[in-house]
Order: sequence, then structure tokens, then C-alpha cells
Amino acid sequence: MKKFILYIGFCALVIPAASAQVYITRTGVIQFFSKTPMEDIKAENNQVYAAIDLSQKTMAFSMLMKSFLFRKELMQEHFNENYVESDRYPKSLFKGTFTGDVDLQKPQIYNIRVQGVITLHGVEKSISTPATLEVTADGLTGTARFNLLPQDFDITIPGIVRDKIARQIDVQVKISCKPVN
Amino acid sequence: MRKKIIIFLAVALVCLAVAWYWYNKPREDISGKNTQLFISAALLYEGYHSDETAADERFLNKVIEVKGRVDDIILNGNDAVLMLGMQPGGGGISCFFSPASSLEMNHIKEGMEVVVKGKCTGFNMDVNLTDCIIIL
Repeated sequence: MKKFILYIGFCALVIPAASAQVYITRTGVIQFFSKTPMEDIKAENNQVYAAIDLSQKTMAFSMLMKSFLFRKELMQEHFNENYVESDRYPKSLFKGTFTGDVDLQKPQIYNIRVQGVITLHGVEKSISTPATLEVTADGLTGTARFNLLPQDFDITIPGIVRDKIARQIDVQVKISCKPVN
Repeated sequence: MRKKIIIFLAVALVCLAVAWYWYNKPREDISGKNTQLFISAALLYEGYHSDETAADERFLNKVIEVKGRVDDIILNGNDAVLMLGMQPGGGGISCFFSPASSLEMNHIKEGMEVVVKGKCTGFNMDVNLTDCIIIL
């Protein structure tokens, strides 16, 4: 399928040989939540690009920070202008590997552990998180949930809104990938 | 003196109300925003593909109307991503619609020529548009 040709270039970033077990999506979902007694904040990006190579056990994510949508306009503005500075650092990336066996012949949910490096706000940080991969009839569905600390990415929260933004940001990932033919 | 206090309180109250309004203002519906640029999906993609920096200057953060062919519709709960004008190179325009029912209402199907209005958020394999609506 011609529309997937571009992905070969994308996959080549992390996958030395584009093998038969590569799964991709361009519509992954990443949400993050900040919960404090003062305010609950949620943002969602539905245009997350991801590739998983089962044989190499590698995965890569790429997304535009400006595609994170908030309910309140002012929050989205502050997020982009003051916190992640999306004009200077438009993309966030993840490149990593996973451990745990996934058998394509047996459709079920597999628990895996993912480790790798997140690039956000121009800062690289290693993370390791439990995750799941589900073998489905038409592909692979992946989920993960982990916490990120704004200060780990040199994001400073001004004192005036300090109580409105959680120290730990809860990040939830869901991707439904299809095989690359 | 008492009058002054009342005026002061009234002014403070108005200020607070205005601040509260701005703080809670929901993200504006794109239909209320003026289109800043009209372009075909092919030209928009080509612009980003050949020179991302120059294209960002022209399109990033702008409300644009893009004409192209519907190549795919990916539903995800209440939301949908419509792939517009996929190019032979494999990329195109990724248009995010929420709710997805706005596509159904307009009877949008694969293969149709449409005009999508959305806000350009940059380039990541595809050109990304958010807050999209169907114009034609």
C-alpha cells in the first residue's frame, strides 16, 4: 500500500531492517491528566504516530505538541507558549525497546515492559514503564500509563498556578496499529 | 466614603468576572474563525515536504481551508481522523474531527472531494490539522 511507504523511512529511524513484523499507526492517542484539589486538567492528542517492530522488539512514537487539545483555550495557549514552548520544540518523541514475549498466533493481551528515551521540550529522559500489547484480528493494540514530572523536562511552573498543576502528570497511551504490508 | 467602597467592590467584582470568563473560556469553535488561507492538499503537503521551516512560516497556527480527496477515515470512539489527499510519497493531510458525527452528518465517504477547515499544527509524517470541520 503506497500510503505506508513513508513509514519505512520512519521505521528506519529505529528499525535497522524493515522486517515483516512492523506495525504502525498515525492515529494513536496520548492523554495526560493533572489532578489537584484546585483543578483537573486533561489534554488529548489523537494524531500520534507510532511504529512497533515485534521481531526487533523496538518501538517509536512521534507527535506534535500543538496537536494536544485542551477544553479551555487559555490552558492550551499557556501549555504551548509557556510550558512546552511548542514553537521552539514542536515535536515530542519516544524511542525504545520492550521485553516480554508476544505470540502473534495467540490473540490475547500480553504484559510487557517498555524502556527508552522520551524527548520533550528539547530534553531527553529515560523512562521504563509496564505496558500491554494485545494481538487482535487486524493488528496490535498497545497501552501504557506512566507519570512524568515537568521539572525533569526543564518545564517550570510559575508560583501563581503552582497549586493548580499536579507535581506528577499522569500520561496514558493507546495505539491501535496495523501491519505494514 | 461608603459610596467609594461600593464602587470599589463593584469594579473588583467586574474584574473578577471578566478574569473568570477568560480563564474558563472553552476552546473556540473553528467555524467562528476567519479562514486565513486556501490551498490544495497536494500543495500544502508539498510545501511541508520540501521545506518545513518555510512552510511553518506560511501555515503554522493558521486557520486554513484545504481541498483534497478523502483517502481514509479512522474512527476512534467519538473522534475521527480523516486522511486528505495522500501523496505518492505516502504522506498527506491528517485532519482531526471531534465529534466524529460531523463527518456522518455531511455524508463524508472515502473517495469524495472535500474542503476541510482546520488549524495547522505542523508536520509529522503528515501535515496535521486540528479542530476540523467540513466546508464542502
